[in-house]
Amino acid sequence: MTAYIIRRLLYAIPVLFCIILVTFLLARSLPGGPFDRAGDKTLPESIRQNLEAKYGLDDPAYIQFANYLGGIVRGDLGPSYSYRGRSVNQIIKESFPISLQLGILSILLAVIIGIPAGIIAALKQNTWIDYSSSFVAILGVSIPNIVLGPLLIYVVSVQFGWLPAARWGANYKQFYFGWIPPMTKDFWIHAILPVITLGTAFSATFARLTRASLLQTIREDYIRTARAKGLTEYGVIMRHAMKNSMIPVVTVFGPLLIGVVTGSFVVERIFGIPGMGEFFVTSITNRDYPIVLGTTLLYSVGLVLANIGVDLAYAWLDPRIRYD
Amino acid sequence: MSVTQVSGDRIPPAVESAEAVQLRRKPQTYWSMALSSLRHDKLTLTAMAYILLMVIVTASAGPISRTLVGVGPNDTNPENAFQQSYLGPYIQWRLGTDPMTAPLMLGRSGGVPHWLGTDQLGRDQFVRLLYGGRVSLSVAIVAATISLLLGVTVGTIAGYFGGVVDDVIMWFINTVVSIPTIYLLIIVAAIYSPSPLVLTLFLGFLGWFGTARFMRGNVFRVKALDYTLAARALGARNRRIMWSHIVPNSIPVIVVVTAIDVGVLILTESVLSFLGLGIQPPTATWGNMLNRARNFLFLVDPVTGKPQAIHLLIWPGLLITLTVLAFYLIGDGLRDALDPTLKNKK
Repeated sequence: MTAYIIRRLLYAIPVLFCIILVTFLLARSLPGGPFDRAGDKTLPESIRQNLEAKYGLDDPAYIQFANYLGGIVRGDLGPSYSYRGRSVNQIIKESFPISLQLGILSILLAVIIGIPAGIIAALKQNTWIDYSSSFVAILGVSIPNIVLGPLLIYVVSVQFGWLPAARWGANYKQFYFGWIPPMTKDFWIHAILPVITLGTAFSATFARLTRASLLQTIREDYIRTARAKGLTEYGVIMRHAMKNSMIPVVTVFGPLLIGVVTGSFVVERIFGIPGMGEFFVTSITNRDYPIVLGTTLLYSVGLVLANIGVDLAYAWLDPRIRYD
Repeated sequence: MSVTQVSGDRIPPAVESAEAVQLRRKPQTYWSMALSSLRHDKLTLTAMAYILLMVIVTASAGPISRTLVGVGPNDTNPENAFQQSYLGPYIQWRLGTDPMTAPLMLGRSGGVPHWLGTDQLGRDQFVRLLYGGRVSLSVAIVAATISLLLGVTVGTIAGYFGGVVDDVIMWFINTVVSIPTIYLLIIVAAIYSPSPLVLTLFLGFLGWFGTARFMRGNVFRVKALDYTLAARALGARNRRIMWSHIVPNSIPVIVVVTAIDVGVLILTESVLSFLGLGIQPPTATWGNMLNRARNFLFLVDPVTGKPQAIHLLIWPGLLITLTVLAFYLIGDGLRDALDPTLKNKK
């Protein structure tokens, strides 16, 4: 198993190299440079050249790329061009935990609501409970967060004034261990709407998958055996059916994480949350290459690790799957 | 009747009549079974009807907006910004319950009936939704077709040849897939600030990885089946085996994946437009209409205190949601209809 993990990690290195290369080339092919303008004014040619020389932008592209790779090896993602005096490491340290909290809370919401809803729907198959939960689930899958977010803001914040419509309730200075948010009221009232916006679709996906998969599992012979030996219904479902029916649900965790990333761009934009997605989108417009590269790299590393984690979870859920 | 008469004379040969019964039933092919099971699936049929309606209505956006409204999608009228939907007042006017509101609205808009209201520049929302739907739908459908063709070709090649070819292709796909497509799309969209055509091409060329993976898996399965071996034994060449035997066998999988793909692409296009990186205004798409509406959520009428711009959020949002929902339902319905292994499980 350890050998398998090490091999997967080694495989990831060329993949990450390619990702850096592609993103580097794409980012450099953006028309215009980071120092074309200062605010509304165009910068004088000489100042622009000095600035570009300071950040090494007048070097040939391959030297810039080599320098950048060297920086990554040392764990240095370079300086930001548009947020003067701040490094990309610093910006990521401040913004990434917020995106992480948003993502984790949405997935938690999805697990807490989606999986039980799927179980109940499967156990009450073809009753009104099943039909209504399936209907809500397909609706939840199809309502895009770009629709749900503004709608929630309108109803909850504008009409009733119950929850704040924007911002995040804590900043990086308050985080424990750099990423765990303080459990203050301020944090939660700001988190509720964005987390619902991002989590609804995942929760609906989980509910649909759990239902379909559990329905298939409870027709298996070993479930009949478990019933025959006199286990309670609860025991049959929890001890025997659940673990096996979770495999398809775990399968979607990979695509789900990509969904979280994509969704976080939108949700951070809608709710004005200073997370990494928001920094990425603004950095594209600012031609702030180091931030573009740094955030892409961080997400890719996260996805590669998450995919390895998903594969390990299969082996735990289904002992027939072995990696060696 | 005739059967009993015959049986009165002599015992009918049981085998023969069983054969006759068999013959009287029309032979069922795979597709006729799929069609007949689809015919009973009201939900999927409704979804298909909705999509068909949307395609027809948006394709004839020009004539419809000329006859029903009389303005184009980009005709502004700043004096008449944020007008509410005319539909409700019009019905009340015709019913006689409220003879005032509708004529007043017509007066303000210069005689143009804005059925679903107007936006911040006084442009007609109904007309913009029609034109925007045309862009959103055609971008999604054409991009899905491109990614379908690419995905099927690459997936078939990878799955059929296996070995090094498969390794290289899968390595490439896995690399690209570990960058969230949205990153590539955002960067690429920022480079080219896309027209609908360019955006379609990008969505198509960046969207085929999933289809290719699906296809590859299916090809692996089909390749091991006996009829592939038989075709090979008869001397068929690789290309013939691939296109005449393997691809047709994978059509059900492809159809389902593509239906869902179109829904996803509509979402992707609207997300990009929503982030301000998709098709640029004044060209309307459902996504950028929604993006604009977000800025006016807090706007209230100074006199009545009613929200002024909520109709700008509701209608595009409703259309995107319904359309995506319809494509998902079609995908689900087709899967049930096309997958013979599910046939007896209902």
